[in-house]
Amino acid sequence: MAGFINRHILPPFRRPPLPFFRPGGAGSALPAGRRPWTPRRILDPGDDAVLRWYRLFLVTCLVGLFVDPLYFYLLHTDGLAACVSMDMGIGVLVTAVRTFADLFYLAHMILKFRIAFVAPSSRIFGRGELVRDPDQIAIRYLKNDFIIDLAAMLPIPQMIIWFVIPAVSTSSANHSTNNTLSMIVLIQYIPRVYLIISLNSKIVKASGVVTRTAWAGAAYNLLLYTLASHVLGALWYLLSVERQYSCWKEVCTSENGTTAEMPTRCLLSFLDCKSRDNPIRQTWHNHSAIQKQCMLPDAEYDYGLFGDALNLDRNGVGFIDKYLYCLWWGFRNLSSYGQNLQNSTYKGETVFCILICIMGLVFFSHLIGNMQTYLQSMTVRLEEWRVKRRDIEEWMRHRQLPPELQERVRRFFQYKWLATRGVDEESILQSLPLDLRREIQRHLCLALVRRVPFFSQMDEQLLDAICERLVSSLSTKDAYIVREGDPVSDMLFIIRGELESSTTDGGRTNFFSSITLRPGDFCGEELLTWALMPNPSLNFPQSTRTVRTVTEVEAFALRAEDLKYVANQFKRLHSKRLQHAFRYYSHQWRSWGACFVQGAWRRHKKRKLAKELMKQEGICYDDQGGAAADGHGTDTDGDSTPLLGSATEPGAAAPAADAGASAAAHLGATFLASKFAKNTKRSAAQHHKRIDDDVSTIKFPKLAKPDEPDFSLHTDDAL
Amino acid sequence: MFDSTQKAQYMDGHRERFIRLDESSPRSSVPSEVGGRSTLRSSMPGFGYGPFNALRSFLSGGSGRLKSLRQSLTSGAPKTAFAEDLKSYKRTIFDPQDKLLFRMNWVFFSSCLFAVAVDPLFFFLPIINDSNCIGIDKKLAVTSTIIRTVIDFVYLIRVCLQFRTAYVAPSSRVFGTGELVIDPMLIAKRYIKSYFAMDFVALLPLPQIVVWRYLHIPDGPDVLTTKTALVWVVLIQYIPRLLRIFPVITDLKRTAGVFIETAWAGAAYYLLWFMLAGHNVGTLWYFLTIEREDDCWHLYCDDPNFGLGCNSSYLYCNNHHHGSYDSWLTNNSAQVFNMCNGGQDNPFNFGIYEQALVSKILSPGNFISKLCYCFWWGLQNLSTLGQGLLTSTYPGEVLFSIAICVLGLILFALLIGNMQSYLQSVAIRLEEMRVKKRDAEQWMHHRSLPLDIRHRVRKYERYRWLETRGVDEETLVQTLPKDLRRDIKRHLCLGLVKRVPLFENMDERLLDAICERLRPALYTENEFILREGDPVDEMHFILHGCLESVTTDGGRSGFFNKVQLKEGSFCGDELLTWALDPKSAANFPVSSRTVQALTEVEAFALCAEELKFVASQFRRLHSRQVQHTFRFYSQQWRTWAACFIQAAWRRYYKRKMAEQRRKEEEAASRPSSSHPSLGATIYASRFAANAMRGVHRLRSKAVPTIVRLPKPPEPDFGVDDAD
Repeated sequence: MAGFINRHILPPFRRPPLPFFRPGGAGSALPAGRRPWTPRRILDPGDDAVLRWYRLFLVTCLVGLFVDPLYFYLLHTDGLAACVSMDMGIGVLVTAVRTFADLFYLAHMILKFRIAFVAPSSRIFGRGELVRDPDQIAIRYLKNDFIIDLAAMLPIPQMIIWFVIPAVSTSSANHSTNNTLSMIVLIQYIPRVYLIISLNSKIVKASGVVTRTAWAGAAYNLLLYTLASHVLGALWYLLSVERQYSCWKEVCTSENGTTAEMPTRCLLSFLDCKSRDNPIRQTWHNHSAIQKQCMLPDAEYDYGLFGDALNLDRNGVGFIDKYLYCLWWGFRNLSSYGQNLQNSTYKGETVFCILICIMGLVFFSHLIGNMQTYLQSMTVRLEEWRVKRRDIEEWMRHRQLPPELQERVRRFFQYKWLATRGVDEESILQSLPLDLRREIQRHLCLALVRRVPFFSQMDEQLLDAICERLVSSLSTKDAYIVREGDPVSDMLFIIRGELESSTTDGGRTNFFSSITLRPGDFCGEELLTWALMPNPSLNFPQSTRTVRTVTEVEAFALRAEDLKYVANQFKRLHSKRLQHAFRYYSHQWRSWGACFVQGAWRRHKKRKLAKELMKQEGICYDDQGGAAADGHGTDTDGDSTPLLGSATEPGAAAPAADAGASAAAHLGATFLASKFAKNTKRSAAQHHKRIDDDVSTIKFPKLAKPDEPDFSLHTDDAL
Repeated sequence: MFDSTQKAQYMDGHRERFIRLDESSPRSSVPSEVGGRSTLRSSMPGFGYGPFNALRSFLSGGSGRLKSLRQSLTSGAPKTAFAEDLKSYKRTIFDPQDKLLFRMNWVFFSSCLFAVAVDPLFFFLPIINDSNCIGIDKKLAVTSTIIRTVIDFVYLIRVCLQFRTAYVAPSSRVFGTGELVIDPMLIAKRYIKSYFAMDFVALLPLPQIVVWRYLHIPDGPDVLTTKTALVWVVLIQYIPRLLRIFPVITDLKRTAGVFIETAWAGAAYYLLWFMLAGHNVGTLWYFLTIEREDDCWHLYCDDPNFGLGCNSSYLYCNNHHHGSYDSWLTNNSAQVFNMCNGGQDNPFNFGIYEQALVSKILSPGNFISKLCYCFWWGLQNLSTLGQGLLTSTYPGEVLFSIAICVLGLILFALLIGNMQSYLQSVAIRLEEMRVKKRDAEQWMHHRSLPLDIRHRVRKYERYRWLETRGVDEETLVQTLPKDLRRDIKRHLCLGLVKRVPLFENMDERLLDAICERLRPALYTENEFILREGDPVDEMHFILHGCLESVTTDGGRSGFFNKVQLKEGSFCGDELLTWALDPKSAANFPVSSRTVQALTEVEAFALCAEELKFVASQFRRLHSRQVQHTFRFYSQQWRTWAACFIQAAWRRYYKRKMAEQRRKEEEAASRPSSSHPSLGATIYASRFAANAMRGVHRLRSKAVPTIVRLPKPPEPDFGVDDAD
């Protein structure tokens, strides 16, 4: 199964698996069929289920470590009667809980026979190969960890309580039996602690951390501290009972019944509370000096630091109160390294104090160090950001930057914190594998890139290639992205914010064009022209526009080298459809189109004006012809009048009157004709002058047609 | 009439033409898009296949975008907006990055801290009166209630503001700072789902109600009921009032990036938390002492041996006592009270509360001294993790001690850890410098470097620290955007670069391009910047200091030239020749001079690739004026010119000597022809021999001193000669 390539989800644009893997897969299936007796599942040590079991088992081990010291509270002393008794009620409860916890140890051992391991010889590269053979797993487990797991799992305290103690209940070895029980619990504590430590390292090895959050880590360390206090308090109580018994034993040994004051001999069985009803014991107790020597607070015996614990039993407090007091004693002395302890010269007591001091130092420094580590990991980005800001402030002051420039730098860093929270996204992405990086880039960029209309014409594979190379660009207000005449080093696609793009066509007077770029637009389109040339020069193209940010701008930048790589690698970028989209959305082309339309319109108006003027001149010439015609008509009338005068003699007066009227009409006509001719001539002169003025005032801005990207390659991709 | 009609028609046509020219000005003829406020802002192209592509992109985007589109279409008002569009859209919705809101968050944070300091004052309300009964301090009750009401009102403002503050939509955070959700319904829903319950419980005026009932209702609850209700109310409400500080801190961190500006303020902040915990522990200790005293009184009051005629209600003030109270107070009360004085002879074990009983702080007296004593007790036991506490076996007392120990551990770890973090961040650059110096010393010792080299390394490190204070300037500038980077470089370099004569006559754009690529270089005394024969990979422009430049023309004997370079000079000028050559080889040019620093030198370096980029990108570098300036200031050209002048002078001197010899020969030949006698012949031959010997001496002397230094290769300034 290890060599078989299993593809559950096949992405549509990926290549299908090669055919020669299928016989390999079939070959792998054959050995599994040959051995039907093998177990159904061999677990991976890095699996989620195994990790969850490890964490659950860790909690159970902690519960077991908490329950075990409760066995130390089974004994309690009766100071008045000078005897020791055992609380079997608590014993039953503790035994039940411990048995339940031991079942987890057993389950863990069984599971260890089913967990694969990494072959050491295969760890030279990568994670290594898993050994899944059950025989090898069993041999390795039996050779390494089985003994310790068995020692931790064995229910020895349960067997002592249920089988050994009832068998020897009537003898004088009761206290020895209880000592044996406590010693066994203490001895078994060592493999259990070792098991927790190895479990910790297993979890760290598999998943990196024991706890997922820093607060859980700090609480876990505090819990370990509490556990140590609990064990220490229980041990303190146990040792105090031991001291009390030592005092009683010393007095009992000295009273051997040889004097008249002591008629009966003291037996060690008298120190057991079960023998309280014995008449011989009562006689001995009445004559004994055991209370005077061993009973607090007037005892002659020096109990040292155990006096407080013995007061608990003297006052007859319950288990809960006793337990809380001992826990508090452990807390206090562990955290103060045993500063308040006033011990006697007893050797065991001195060793116990030394142990408390060393454990206190170790646990306290461990707790402080771990909590500090966790708290620092929570605020590591915040601290880095603070240090960087302080560096910036110091450097700006050191270099005497002007206040306006300092304010801009501060504003940019504030903006960058809001956008990234101090995390270096580029380094995080670079540490991921290529396929994961591509998927993340698609998630981050693709939905936003589709909002740019120029990219909506491209297909998925081309968009993937572009998304891999897009870098985010953040600019604050009033920043100049690029200035006219500067080399264009990247193409910017606006996602958020507004920019002002203006041009003077190389600094020409009387020419200025300004537009506002909004989300979905792009600038730096000269770079696309440069990238699509078959033999481009090494120089970057010069910008024809000045682009300035009006608000805070978030954009995707495509660098010159990346754009050239995409243009060379993906020939689909050379298509007629992209050419049309580029022309439509390019502001350089829009400016040229606007100037072209303006020029065409002005030529049209000029041509129309010329036509109108010619029409007006035609009307003037017709009027002159009319005037000439009128003059001609007048001459015709003059000719006809003498003819009538010479024809008739008696009408001499009538022809004379007609001749006068005709003379008057001729003079008026001549005057009007000359006046009109003068007016017509002046109007024509004014008209001509006006035409000259119009021609002189019209200036056609000869904006050059922008260089067209070479989309001509592979025109078969056209729509 | 006809003439005037025609004239009017012409004027109308002319005016109309001018109006149209105004309409067609280039500024307003470019169409500007009207951007919507929706998250799906995409303007469709005007082509016929546009809708099909849009539909395909919508379908391939998944149902999430369709849902968002449907929501956007369903409601008329937009639901999200960018931060800069917020102020133009609605006045009543606040931007979470607003400066006013940031300052108000600081006010809210201070009031929350003050609240957790004021709430424990309610624990001081129970007092033991002079007549040996437990009463309530009325004056303190009124004061605490008023203060708490004011603080709660301040926080109520924050709750109202939360319903009017926009938040960043999580789905829009994939890029940049994200978009703000400005729909009041969504804002209220989000706030109610997150912190509203905690804020509501924290704002309930429960202690105020309890105190008011006690003070204003004559037949209201007695001292015991009021005390019990008050302590439980304050304790239970303390948890949400403590937890609500952390959302305010989160808001401050999210806005400003840093919560505490300086390291010392951070250390003081955690010390403040420590002191606050001490104050709370102290007040709780006071209250538990009252409880313990009450338990003792009850124990002996119920005991027939001590409490003859005693009733439990007699232990509390302001109660309507029965008829036998006076007789009990006169005759038998001393037995009960004397057993609970906290002295050494008392059988009742007060444990850690005995200190409070003995110090008489339970009586109604000076509140300030009571407050200070309890504060001291809390601070002492927190800082020593409760190791001085001698408890009894009472479980409540033991649990209280354990809580003090655990709380002390946590706060101690927090304080030490955070102080260490802040102290580390303060001295981080100094420590880096110390570590680097130790690394350098260790490495020099490991490699057994000679002592003079070690001394030079130490001197350079000290010089660099003085210049930069340990800050990595280049990395720091690279994180800024391009525009800021250019402006900073212009501020740092332009004033200095203009002092170099070669750059004086360049225009601003070219100077900007050069300033962006200049790199500061520092050299200590007696360092060699260039050596004759080495490849030149950098051109240096001297800003400060003095250098010595020598050449032997490739090691030729008898040739030596030495000049001093000062501020405004440059070296490595062979690189400019190489960069301006269109057909230059890939190899760097070989240096013709050796340049050594005489003092500490500050210079700007321009590496070969950058110089080639500038030369190829900006054609204005190829100009006659730059050529002349280059020739004038170039040491290579100056050396050539000096050699040329020397050669010319020597040729002139040689020609003069030859002419003088010819005159001498003429003078010698003239007297010999006038005297043909024997004596004259002897004199003429002797003179001729002397003249020939002089000629031979001059010829042999002149041959080795004539030098032939070749003309250096000229930079190709021929392109665009019209400039």
